[in-house]
Amino acid sequence: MMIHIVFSFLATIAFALLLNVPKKAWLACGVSGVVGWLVYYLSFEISQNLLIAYFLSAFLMGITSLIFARIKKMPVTVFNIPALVPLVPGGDAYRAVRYLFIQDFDLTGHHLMRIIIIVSAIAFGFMMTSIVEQMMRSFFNKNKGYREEK
Amino acid sequence: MDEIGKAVEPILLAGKIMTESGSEIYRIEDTMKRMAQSIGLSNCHSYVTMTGVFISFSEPPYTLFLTAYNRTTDLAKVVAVNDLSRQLQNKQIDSETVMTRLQQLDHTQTPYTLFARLLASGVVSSSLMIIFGGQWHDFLPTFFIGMIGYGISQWLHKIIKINYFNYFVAAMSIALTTLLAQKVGIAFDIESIMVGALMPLVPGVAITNSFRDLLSGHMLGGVARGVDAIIIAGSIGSGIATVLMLWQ
Repeated sequence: MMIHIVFSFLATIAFALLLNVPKKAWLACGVSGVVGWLVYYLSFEISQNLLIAYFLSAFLMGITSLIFARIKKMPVTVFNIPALVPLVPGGDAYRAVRYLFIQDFDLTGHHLMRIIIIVSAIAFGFMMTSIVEQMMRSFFNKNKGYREEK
Repeated sequence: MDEIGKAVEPILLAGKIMTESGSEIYRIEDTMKRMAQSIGLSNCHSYVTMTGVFISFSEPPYTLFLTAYNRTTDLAKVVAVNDLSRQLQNKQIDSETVMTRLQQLDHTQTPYTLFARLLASGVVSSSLMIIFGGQWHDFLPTFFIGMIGYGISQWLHKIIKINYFNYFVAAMSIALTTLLAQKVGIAFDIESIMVGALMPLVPGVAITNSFRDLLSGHMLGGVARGVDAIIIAGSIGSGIATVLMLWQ
């Protein structure tokens, strides 16, 4: 468990450096990455269901990024992009193409279906995050307008 | 007419910098609109695609645009432009200062040396290899193979101006070095090593922003980014597959 926390943190921060994320956002990126990976790992261990695991992890990672974006006054993407990297189905993508090359269509289909499930689960998780984001925004704007009127 | 043209210059440049550094389309349009409002242009529309930035008003010169072909990933620039537009909105700086800052920003490069970025790509590769279920004795080989893959993709991107070719060759070199390392006897689980080593090449920006743009209704940007991600994944996969086929 400790290994998972430490290495997902390291990987996210290193990817943040590759994308030239400002240094003051690194810690937040790392924490979002750890949240995303741990939620995926634990919920997959419990449910053995890709859809649920990726949905939950994308959703909670998005919420974490959203909170950090509010605190640090930076765009949400800055935290989202590095934190998503451990969840990207890179292994499945490469295996799908590889089995396509040796014309093993059963395994190609297997990995393609996994990619479709993972990507749609992540998209659905992000959708939920966007809904929360919109609710937060309208809530904050209402408060702001109220204060200005006073 | 000249007045508006001059006033709008920083807005266009801000949009161009954000487009070229990997921001989401809706954020760029929103930022441009807010900047326009804060310099007193209320009735104005912005339209951004992956390759160009447009802005229009109800009086001459009606429409202005800038092309944005030189796409890289530099989230620090996105953050910087975001900060500038926020400051402009709060009237902390005037639009001339914004213009000079943006011009400086347009020419800055990443502050990290190639060596630091190579080390970071090694860290990405080997730590992801471990949490994907790899073995500890493959840690160092993955570190170096990841560095080689990332280094080659960066170097080729500089000398050959063909998109996606660098991913293909980098994936080929990852597969080749992994197989050689296995032959020499320093690498064992080649599957997890290769998956780990290709992770620094993963199109994280394209995937994330594609989702975010599609969800906010910007079809063009979302679809373009999605196709970009699919082609990158395909080139990486076919690079590795080519070498594996030739090796046997």
